Amino acid sequence: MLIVGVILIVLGVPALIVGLATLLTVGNYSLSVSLVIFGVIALGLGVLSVLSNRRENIRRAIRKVVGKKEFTLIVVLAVIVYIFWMINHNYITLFNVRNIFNAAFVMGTLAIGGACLLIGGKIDLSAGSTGMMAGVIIAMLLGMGIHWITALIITLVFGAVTGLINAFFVNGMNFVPFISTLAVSSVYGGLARVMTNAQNIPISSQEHPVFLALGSTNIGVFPLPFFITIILLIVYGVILSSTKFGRRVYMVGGNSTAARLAGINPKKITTLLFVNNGVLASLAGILMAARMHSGSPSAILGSDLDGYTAAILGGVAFVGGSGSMLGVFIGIVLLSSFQNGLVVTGLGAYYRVIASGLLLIAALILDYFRENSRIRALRKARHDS
Amino acid sequence: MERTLEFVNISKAFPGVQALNDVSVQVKGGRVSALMGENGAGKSTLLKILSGDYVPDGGCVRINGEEKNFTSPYQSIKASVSVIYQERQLLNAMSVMENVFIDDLHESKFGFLNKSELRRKTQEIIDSFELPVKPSDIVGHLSIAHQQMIEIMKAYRRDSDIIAFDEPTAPLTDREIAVLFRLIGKLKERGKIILYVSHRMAEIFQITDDIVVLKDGQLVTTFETSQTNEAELVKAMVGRDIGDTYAGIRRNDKIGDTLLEVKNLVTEDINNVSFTLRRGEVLGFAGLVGAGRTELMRAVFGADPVISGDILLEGKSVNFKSPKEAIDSGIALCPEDRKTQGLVLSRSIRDNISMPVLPKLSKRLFMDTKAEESLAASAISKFAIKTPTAEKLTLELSGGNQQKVILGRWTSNLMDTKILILDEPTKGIDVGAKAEIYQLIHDFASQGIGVILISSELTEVLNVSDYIIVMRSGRITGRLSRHEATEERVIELSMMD
Ligand SMILES: Nc1ncnc2c1ncn2[C@@H]1O[C@H](COP(=O)(O)OP(=O)(O)OP(=O)(O)O)[C@@H](O)[C@H]1O
Ligand SMILES: [Mg+2]
Repeated sequence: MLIVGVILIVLGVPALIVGLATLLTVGNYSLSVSLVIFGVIALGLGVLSVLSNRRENIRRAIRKVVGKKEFTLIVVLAVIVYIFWMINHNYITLFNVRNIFNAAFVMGTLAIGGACLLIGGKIDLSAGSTGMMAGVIIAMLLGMGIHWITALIITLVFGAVTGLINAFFVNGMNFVPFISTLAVSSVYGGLARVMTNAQNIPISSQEHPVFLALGSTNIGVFPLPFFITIILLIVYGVILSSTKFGRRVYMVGGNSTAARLAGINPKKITTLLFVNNGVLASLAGILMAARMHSGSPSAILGSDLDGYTAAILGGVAFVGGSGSMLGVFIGIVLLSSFQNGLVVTGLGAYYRVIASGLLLIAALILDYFRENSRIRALRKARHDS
Repeated sequence: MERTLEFVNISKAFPGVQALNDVSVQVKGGRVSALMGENGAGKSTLLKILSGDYVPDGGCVRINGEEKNFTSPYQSIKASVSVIYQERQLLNAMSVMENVFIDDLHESKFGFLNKSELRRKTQEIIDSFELPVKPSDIVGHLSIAHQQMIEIMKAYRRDSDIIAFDEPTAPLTDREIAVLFRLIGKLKERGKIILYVSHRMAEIFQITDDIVVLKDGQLVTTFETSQTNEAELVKAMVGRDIGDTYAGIRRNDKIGDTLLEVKNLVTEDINNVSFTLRRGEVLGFAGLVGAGRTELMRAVFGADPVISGDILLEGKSVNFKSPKEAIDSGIALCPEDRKTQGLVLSRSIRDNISMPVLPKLSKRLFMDTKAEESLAASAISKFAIKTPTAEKLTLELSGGNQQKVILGRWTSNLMDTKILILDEPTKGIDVGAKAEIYQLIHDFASQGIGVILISSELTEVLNVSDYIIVMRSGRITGRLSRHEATEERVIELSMMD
């Protein structure tokens, strides 16, 4: 075991280095990508086998990781990426990877807010329309010559207010969130079209270069919105897993009656989650407007549902009380790579919608097998002892 | 022909626990067979195998000599088996009749529900259960005891050959229990096989004929009820002598000044109630279902609105608008129903225990994981919660161990408790652990904490409390000191109009 591990490491490290180096410089993608993939796998397996040979607790840790839902998803992701790459080597090019992440940031931002709400046992179907309204509003404000920072703040406040309205319906009036947020979504959807006469509202690049830069600036090779999404994922991941607020979200989502009797204020948590979702949706809309150089009364529509799909793919329970930002992240990457893959391999954009559904089903099936094999392994362990 | 039910070499494992290990038992028709064992011994698991809910890893079930391998509850019901689960399985938004006839809704020719027929049949069953409910009542609005009776009706209605009861009496009071036992007697006369799980010793000796004892997933022994006694049975269950549960309590005898004073309290369910609780006192509340004991405590705790009246805590008037305010002022309430009001079942033991003390478990912005882990570890050891880790989801614990998690939460050393209100704290808890909880109550009392104990188990209230208040229909009908209180007296007061 130890020997195998060492050999794998020895082979893996140079393969990875050469692969990475050629990937960024030379044009022969298929070779360098193969090298990178081989390198990562060999190195990973090598390190794991060396370590697990040494210590029992590491072996146990590995088993724990393999048993996690996120692990299944990463394997699915690897398989999907590999298949698309086999079909069309252009799938893994810097250009296309950038495309994937570019397309993912709106859905990603909405997935973060949506996942927090789902974990807290609620849902907000108005996020897409809120984002769309935010795009329209900021474009209009900028058109009126307002400074972009002021406009940005006003638009974010609009998102927060929308969250408060949703929270009021749910907390104050006891409306079912599914219905009341759907109603708000419909109102906003119509309003955006009325306000714009169903026309895009352009943002002038002479007057607002700084604002538009928000959507087009690249840091390194990736666009700014991509980094914003990643930072949000990390921040929310830490909030959910390591703060008392995060813990309260899980508890309220799992059983709000029990949480209330244990001194948590479920209404306060719900309100915060809705406001948070409204602000994130506005942010997505603003960045989208910056990237498209206009506020569009049809942008973003449907991205909120994609966001929920990504969240659920990533293991967030629809009934509340469980899920993680790591899962959401993987869900986002999974869904957007799959959707993009269908486009790149020439199947066309209409397959995007089918893709979301199929992927969800595939993830559920895998999860089922993972559960089953865990039980079988336990049974076997018992027989052995 | 005499009916038989055999479990043959049954094994079943869950992650980290061997719930059942090669268990073989045979029970006969026309007899009530008790399944006994500590919390987590594997009783409910065995019954879930009988109901087809779990498929055993090894072994099989034989009914009348015929091997059955149920893989779903549907098959088990078809084979004339009914299992009444420890946790209620009701549709809260539906009516009594729809729940009772859930798997056999009467349909007319055109596939519509025949409501009048359904209502008539349900009423018949309700009558034989002597319950004050209507077929059209919504189940979620009924008291927990009545919900439990509806659950039992569901199985009773099917008239199965094999009927298993998993702690049916835990949420019931004496009146419903008497009815239930009469019904079980009738079923027994008709030659049915009856399996009965309970942690209440007196019941076991009252209605069962045989006793099967499990420990840590293994069969320990079987007794004929008439040939054994409580001490011997407890020893088989626990593996050691534990002595007399009540006589063994080291009681607190230092009762101090007034801690809580409730004056003329009126709420939707409570009619003009006044009482006082002193430091170091264990104040018991007795009464039948619907007497308003739970509602009274919920109002004190800020969980339900108060219409009028005063609550004085250490002489200061308080008016809690939420449980959070009550907790911040030093009141802890361990609620009656662990599934709906107590636990967040989808979360771990650790998460459930830290819930009310999250601020104390945070260092600046972040949770202090070390402190949290040691809090969970201390609850697990204090109550001997049977689990491989503190990370285990409470959903996966046995009923009694779930109850211990709630007790662990409300008695943790991070709570600055002045008043500890325990609503049915020993529901589903095994004999050994019960004795420890009674001791714990008195240990708290000797620290000057005032303890309020609500229990439907009369002997428990009488033996643990210093002072007993009897309620009926939202009013107090009697106040007795420990020495004045007898079972007869309390029953009389709890029925008084
Ligand atoms: N679904 C499950 N997943 C994981 N572990 C389980 C599950 N169901 C039961 N267990 C474990 O199996 C063991 C036996 O549980 P079981 O519910 O049969 O106990 P019990 O004898 O009914 O106890 P109690 O008196 O507390 O009701 C316990 O350790 C429990 O944690
Ligand atoms: Mg049980």
